[in-house]
Amino acid sequence: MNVKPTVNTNKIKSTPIQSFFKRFTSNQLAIVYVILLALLLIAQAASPGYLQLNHLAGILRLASFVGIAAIGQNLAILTGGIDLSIANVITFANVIGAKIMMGKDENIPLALVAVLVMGILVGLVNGVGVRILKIPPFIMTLGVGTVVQGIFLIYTKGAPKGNAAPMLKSICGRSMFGMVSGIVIIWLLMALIMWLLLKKTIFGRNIYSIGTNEEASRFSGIDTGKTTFIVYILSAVISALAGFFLVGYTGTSFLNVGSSYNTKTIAAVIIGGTAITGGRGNYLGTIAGAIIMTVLEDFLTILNFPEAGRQISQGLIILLLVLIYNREKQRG
Amino acid sequence: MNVTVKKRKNYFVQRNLRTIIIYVFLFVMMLVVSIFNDKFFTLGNFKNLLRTVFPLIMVSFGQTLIILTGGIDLSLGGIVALTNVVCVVLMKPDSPTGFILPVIVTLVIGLLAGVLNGLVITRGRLAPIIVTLATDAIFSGAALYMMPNPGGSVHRAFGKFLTRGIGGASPLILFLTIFIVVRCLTNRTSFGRTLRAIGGNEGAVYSTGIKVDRVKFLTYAIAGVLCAVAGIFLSAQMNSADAAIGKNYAMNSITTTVVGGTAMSGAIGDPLGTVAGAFIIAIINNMLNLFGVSSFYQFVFQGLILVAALSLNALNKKG
Amino acid sequence: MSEQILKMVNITKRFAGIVALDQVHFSCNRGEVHVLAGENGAGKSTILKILSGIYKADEGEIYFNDKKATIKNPEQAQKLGIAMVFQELTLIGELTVSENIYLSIEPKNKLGLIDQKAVNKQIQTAMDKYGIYLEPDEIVNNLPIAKQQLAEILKILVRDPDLIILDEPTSALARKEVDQLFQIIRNLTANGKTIIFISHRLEEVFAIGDRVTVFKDGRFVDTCNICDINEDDLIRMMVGRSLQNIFPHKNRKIDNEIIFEVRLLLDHDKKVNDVSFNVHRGEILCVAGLQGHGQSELLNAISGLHPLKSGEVIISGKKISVKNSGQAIENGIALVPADRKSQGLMLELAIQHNLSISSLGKRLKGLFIDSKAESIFCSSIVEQLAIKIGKVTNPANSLSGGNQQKVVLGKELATNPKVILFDEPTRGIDVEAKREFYNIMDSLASQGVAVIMNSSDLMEVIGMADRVAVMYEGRISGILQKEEISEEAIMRYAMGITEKYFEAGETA
Repeated sequence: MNVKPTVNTNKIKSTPIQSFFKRFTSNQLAIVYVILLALLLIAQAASPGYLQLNHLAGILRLASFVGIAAIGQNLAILTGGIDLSIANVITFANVIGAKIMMGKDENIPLALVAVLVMGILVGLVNGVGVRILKIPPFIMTLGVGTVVQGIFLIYTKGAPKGNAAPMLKSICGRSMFGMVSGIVIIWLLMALIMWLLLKKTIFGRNIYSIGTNEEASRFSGIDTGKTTFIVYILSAVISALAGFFLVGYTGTSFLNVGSSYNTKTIAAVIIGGTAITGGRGNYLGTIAGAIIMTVLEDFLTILNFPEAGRQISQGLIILLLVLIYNREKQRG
Repeated sequence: MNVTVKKRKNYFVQRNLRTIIIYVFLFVMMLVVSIFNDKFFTLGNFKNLLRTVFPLIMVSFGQTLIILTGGIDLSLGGIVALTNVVCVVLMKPDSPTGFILPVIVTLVIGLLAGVLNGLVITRGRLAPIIVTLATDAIFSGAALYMMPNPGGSVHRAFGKFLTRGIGGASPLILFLTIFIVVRCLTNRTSFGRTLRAIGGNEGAVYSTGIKVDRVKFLTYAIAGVLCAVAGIFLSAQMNSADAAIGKNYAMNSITTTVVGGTAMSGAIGDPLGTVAGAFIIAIINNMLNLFGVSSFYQFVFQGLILVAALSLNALNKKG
Repeated sequence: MSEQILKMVNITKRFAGIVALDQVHFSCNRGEVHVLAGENGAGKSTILKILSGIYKADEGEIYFNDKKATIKNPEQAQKLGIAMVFQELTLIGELTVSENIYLSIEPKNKLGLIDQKAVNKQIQTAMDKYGIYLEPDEIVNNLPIAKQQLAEILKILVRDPDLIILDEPTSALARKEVDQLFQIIRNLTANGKTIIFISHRLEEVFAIGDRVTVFKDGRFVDTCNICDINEDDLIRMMVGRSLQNIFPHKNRKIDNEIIFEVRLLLDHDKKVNDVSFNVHRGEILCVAGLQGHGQSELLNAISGLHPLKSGEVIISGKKISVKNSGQAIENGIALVPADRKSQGLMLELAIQHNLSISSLGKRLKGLFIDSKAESIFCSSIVEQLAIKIGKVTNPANSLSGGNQQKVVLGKELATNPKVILFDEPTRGIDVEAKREFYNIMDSLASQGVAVIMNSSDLMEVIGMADRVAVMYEGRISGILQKEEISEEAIMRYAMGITEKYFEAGETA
């Protein structure tokens, strides 16, 4: 028999450009920021003046609500779960906040406390279902979300009342520090905390562990139950906070103010490179994801796209990006 | 030859325990309801009830098939909306045969929507939840694009036949036909066995030399067609179309499936139970209306029922 | 038709860059029982999974019935007439026995519906033919593991393949069932079927095999007739050296002091049933038994991972609580679990993440993880255990089996355990790594750590144990002292034959 020299086909040398390209495409964080940049440039080309500073500041201001709510979603997805009660929690927080505030600054603390308590309660129920009863997270949160929807409908009798206090309005308003709105600063602070939490704490490590392999996490001594519980409470509380700030943005409250946030937060997280199966990704990507979702919506509005077109494009971009990311995963 | 003739143990009750319990619950509930509503056990009421739940049952059949494979489909509502709108937009109410083409095209559209889901999930190796979340936006967006405001009208004779034809029995006949087909599919065919097996352990089924992807793909496609049937029926029932009609179908179909005893983890379940699940929810809503409870409470009840059914399943598994 | 039914040439398979099979050859003759032998991690399962379409070879060719065959998936393998009884069974727990056995090959009536009567008739015929009797309508999950293994075998038999691969088909079977299986195999080969057989038990290899092919560390060693060799020859081919050189010499000093003890451990479903034993200072205690008799559950229960109903766990005379694994770790109990891929590691995460996850609390700076301390800690563990890695930030799945297992061990050692439990620690790792593992166990025991190992590899048990606790149906059916340990004695207890035959055995 002919003895062939063994050739390792895997080790064919690649050119520096190829290897740069390969490294780049395997870095989802880089991809998502390039997509963001490309989207902004396209918008500028199609509608000159899009990149003006005050317009960008407006985009950021809008993106911060998605970004804040996506913190909770990001935590849930990193553990391998998902939170589909976010949309209704946001609306509920919104109507409670507006109703208690009644346009007066002195009511803000009470409104904030009420909203946070509501968030904790919803998170507790989600946590009990997911952890103790071992119900799949998406369906537990879907069911709880529906209950929350019923409760806020009953609470408002279908007609929400109240409006934002001046102070909250100015925080979420156009310009607090020069061109930067207060809400953007709040978002940045929360993002920093989130980053530290994931990168530098035991809790963060545990989240990645659970999302990658829950059984091995248990075998490694992680209290998986407690960690997941806290994640769902945090998720509900943070979305409640987002709903509260939204009162300041819109001035009053609406019954459908939160309805698009399930899709938007999931999209932001997934676009940002977090794996839907958990364990992989980080919040830096989600920040870009939140801005991309906002720019996309804003840009299509400017182009006079109907609501339908915006929905379709949201669906398409999620589909496209998960397909791209998954290809990368299979190749590696 | 040494033949051991052993009497086969009767496993009927063990296998169908969940379905039996759910039907006992349904009948007890009907009895209780009939105390408050003396018109409950009348033919008219049942006809009414069936008409109300018909679209939901169709969608829930699709959802049941998908959940049996261990998957989930959040886009079924979007498909219902899309097919509802397509059906009405194409209708020619004035032509005597103006309903034939729309019905065929609508069924094909439902099929294609399911095919899209199936293709992306199996070819892309992606989680069904995220794929169908995205396609739901696409389908309902497309419906909204075609019909930004509710409206249109349906072929009169066709609509009447579908909802009230054959002495009011046509929904029943249609329901029974589809039910028998779906239940044969799940319980009496090789396809159905494989479908459950995939929900039990996908890797093991693959190792056995079975085309797992093809079965999964077909399941999503069938669900799409069932949603199209729901969409067509809804257009006949409302004599118009509404792009927002699909909103709650994903959630409701999951609820009826779970209440009907299908395990969210797959493999275990029966379309027969799903039927009971749909009726239980319809009767509860019916009662709430009867007592003049605001429709807002229906959300609370429905969410609570879903969570309760899931908890019962979970406790059952533990104990 | 030629005599040779299968020929595999120059097969190479890499996993994430690690070579699992290196240019190996393998061929079978029609009508023979061909044993594939080799240590854990030698590549036996890998080549069979290539043959049955689960994996795809990176290089090499397969000839089946003298024709070049491409086997891309299990479906193509089955079409060719190759079927495999997998070690990890392919039964669906939620379905019944008959539904599983006839999955996708159900007899149908004219309407295309499953003909249940025909299924019942066929399964009865098949059961009579092979002498395997099972309740066809029972849900698989309700069956004990031995019956599941039989159902799996029957599932392959009814598919009537030409080449049947049996990967450890006897791991859960008792002697009587093994004999029955061997009878079936003889009937099959008499009818021209070919069998590829893998077993850990050497006596089975000699009882049923015609020829044997030996692999070692992913390479082909030799193929020879079983009748030409004896057990010692086979072991030498598999291990590459005599056994004395793999296992450390048992020259540890064993005290009378009891450093670890469990009393009357009982769980909820009697997988662990009134189990008591103790470990002396300097001693290695092995747990043995047929697969599925509660060994893993026992180890998991001690580590807080399998709930207990009653019983006591005592370390150095102090009773401790093991309600969850966190508590067990705090109290000094560490477990190297049976399945490193699903229980031991987060494969996709960094090596550093894996090494440090169980001892994060030891390296905190205020609220935050001290990254400097962590990297110092990681490099010291890597050095101490001689783990061969690229970078600590590479994912754990970039490592070979042996090095992955060392990462699991490193993670556990970082918790400073007083008691360390090894559950099948050398499954799927190469001989060199095995030797290192045995030495580490030896030195841990010398340092006064209580070492307990569960293994289904009797060679390993005999080579390492100072005492052996044998389990049968959740109970300890016998404890063998050093001088009593032999393959035969262990197997007797493992099949539940107790005092009647072994008066000397200390029973719990």
